[in-house]
Amino acid sequence: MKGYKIFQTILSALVLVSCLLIIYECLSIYLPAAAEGKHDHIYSAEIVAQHFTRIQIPVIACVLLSIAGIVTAPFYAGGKKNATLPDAENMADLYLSKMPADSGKDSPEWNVVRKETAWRRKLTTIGVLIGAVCICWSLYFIIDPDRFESLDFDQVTGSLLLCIIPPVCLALVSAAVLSYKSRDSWARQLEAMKIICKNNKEKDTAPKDTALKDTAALRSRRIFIARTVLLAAAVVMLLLGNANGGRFDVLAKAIAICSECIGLG
Amino acid sequence: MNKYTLCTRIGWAIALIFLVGALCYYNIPYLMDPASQDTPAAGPVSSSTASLIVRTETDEENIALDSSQEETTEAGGTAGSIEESIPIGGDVGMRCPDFTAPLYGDGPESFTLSDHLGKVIIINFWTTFCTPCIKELPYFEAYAKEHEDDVVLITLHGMVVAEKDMDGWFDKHPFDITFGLDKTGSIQASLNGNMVYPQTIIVDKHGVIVYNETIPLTLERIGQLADPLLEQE
Amino acid sequence: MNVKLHALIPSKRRFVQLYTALLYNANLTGFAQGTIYQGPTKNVCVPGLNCYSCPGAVGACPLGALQNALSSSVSRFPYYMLGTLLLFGTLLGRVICGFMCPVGLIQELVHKIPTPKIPKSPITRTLSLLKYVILVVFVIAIPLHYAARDIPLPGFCKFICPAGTSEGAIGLLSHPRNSNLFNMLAILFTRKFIILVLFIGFSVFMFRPFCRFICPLGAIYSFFNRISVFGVRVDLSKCTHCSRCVRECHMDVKEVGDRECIQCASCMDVCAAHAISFKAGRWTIMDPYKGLSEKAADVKDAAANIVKRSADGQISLAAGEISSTKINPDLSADPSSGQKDQ
Repeated sequence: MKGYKIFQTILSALVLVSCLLIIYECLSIYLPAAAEGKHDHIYSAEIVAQHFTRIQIPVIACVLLSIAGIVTAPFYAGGKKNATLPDAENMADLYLSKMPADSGKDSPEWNVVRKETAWRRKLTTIGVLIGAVCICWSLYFIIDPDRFESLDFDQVTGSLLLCIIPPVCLALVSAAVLSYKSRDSWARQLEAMKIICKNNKEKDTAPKDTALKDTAALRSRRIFIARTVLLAAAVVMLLLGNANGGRFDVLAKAIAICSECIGLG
Repeated sequence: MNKYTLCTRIGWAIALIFLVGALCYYNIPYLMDPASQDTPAAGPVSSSTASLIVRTETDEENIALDSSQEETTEAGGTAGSIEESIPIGGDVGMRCPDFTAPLYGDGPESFTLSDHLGKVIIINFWTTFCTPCIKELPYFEAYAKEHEDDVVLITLHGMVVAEKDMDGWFDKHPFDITFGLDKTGSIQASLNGNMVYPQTIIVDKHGVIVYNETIPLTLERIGQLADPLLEQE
Repeated sequence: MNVKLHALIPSKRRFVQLYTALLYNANLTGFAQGTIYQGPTKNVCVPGLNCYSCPGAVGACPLGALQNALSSSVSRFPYYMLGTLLLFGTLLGRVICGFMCPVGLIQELVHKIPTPKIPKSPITRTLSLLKYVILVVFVIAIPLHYAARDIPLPGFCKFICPAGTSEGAIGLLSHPRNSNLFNMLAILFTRKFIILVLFIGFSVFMFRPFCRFICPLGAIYSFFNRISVFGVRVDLSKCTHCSRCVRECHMDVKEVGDRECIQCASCMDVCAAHAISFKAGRWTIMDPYKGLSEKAADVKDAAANIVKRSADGQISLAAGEISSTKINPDLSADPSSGQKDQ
């Protein structure tokens, strides 16, 4: 519905504008005071109220429209949700479950499957290598105790973040690029898999089911052991923590107002 | 109604009863008597925490001193004439309520405020868990050292940390200041405090509070606040 | 009209979220008086993220308590907090994220505002690794480094946590008794407040951005996702690999139950093969199709936009659905042709 789309656009704009205005007003209280060198008595109830009245119209309009939008959404959005379409990886998942095991046959489709699988393995290796390099690079900064000498916590944290932004960005960007490449690889493999499945539609799938059941049973046994061990360890640690004063640490911190948590100072 | 639905409904019922029970437990004492909940020590404290907060005679003395202070009009002290019309309380401009606090370390056993009237008294509330408090302790130490004759500094440590931990802490942080203990939080409460740290109160030579804020301070700011009081007679 | 009114009634999961949000903040006296609760239940951490400086909080925050325990780890090993997290993780895992976290609840409520939404993609899946970085840097490294000097510094609470600013600061400052705290606000509050506003703004356009990209507690619980007692289970013998669960999921999952899954069980309602249920160990707790008659199951399917199976096994495909092998094993028909119905 066209009208609803317009309403949605107006609402998004209002939300964005309200958020930006609130941030702007907050900065307009803090920055002038900081420029004067004040470290306290910057905010007060009156100043906050005064700055809020300047932006009250868009913010309150945003809140009211949002509530109206939430309440009326089921009536206008239509009953049918737009389901997302399967992408190459989703489809590949389906065909993988239908494919017979690789019997070493030399056919163009199987060659494509093997080539793409090997390529994806290479991509994973590259990803792991880059990840390891980036982890070591950032750990080099994180572990260094000299960096944490100063009591100017803002400066310490800021400089640490600046130092680890390059490795983290590199890792994330390479992970994203590799995942897009892996998607393309699945797309290429998909065509070959479709042909293989078409040629093998008479094959019996029973052996796969029993294999599935065996692995499932083994897995659930392992999971059961892991759970029992971890739960036992948790109980033991709780008792140890109670005895060595850890519980009192938690209580002590929880019953005083953590001024840092709430942003004071 | 099959077993599954029955179990689910029983589950929801139990959960609801639990929630209502929790709401009653936490809120009914306040609804019964709003005034009594106003001091930190009056919250529901179980026996396990109470054993760590050992109530000794000092606490009774604290409370006895506070109440006797309000009954009598003369506030004691050795310095000049104190305006008897100024009420005792925690606000700026009021007379600082007297208290006695046990002290850590070798030295005097306890600190009583009225013994030190005639000097500028700086009272600071802090805990080991509060990073800004620890950051400002060196400033207090420096200022107190500089004006040893005129300024008395007492830093009161809130009740939240078990006393047995404090010896280790003092070994690691050798400050040359008087460390006291506000065991139940009653001293801070009498000075308008509410378990938020760091709180600093500056009392002039007549025992009148001139500054009472819960803000971390720097050396310059302490100087700004306390230097004018040093010139007082 | 009836169906649409029905959409306004909160789901069971929403009720559980509201219930736990109220339970974690049962100390309403605190809001009335502007103080925080100081009694014995603060020995215990609540499973989800709920700041312990909130006036209503009745338990301790697991992240804050963890950072604090790491701050004092030089003098005592943090058994208590590790035990708590192990217990919550093994029992519940990310069910806590899906059902018991007030911060998640706020994000989901704000997300309901009808605006165009930013869809998930391989980029958001990659960005979800950011929460592990934040876990290592802010929750573990910063407190540990300063622990050696006996300075307690909860890195995440101090620099990032929006729960602290919203529940703690706004909760406390709204009471006139705490007006002196207003004077303490400075750069720290300004930064955290801006972060809070940005999170709320992003939540309108993305689903749970804090949970997907930032929350270190989610990062910790994600390690337990495969072994937690409670959680979502896919019956592989029924699964037809149509991947509708993955597509419909709002989080960046690659398969149901992996590290990104918040075990919210929304996929239960969209599974065409009715293969997904909510389990506790070996028992099934929630299975919307269990015991339903064929007719009732069809009604549910229609509501979830799932394809209807006709008597002779032919399927009308819609929105890219793949036929089940049990009904129509003829894969010579290219399933992707179903996409033209969309």
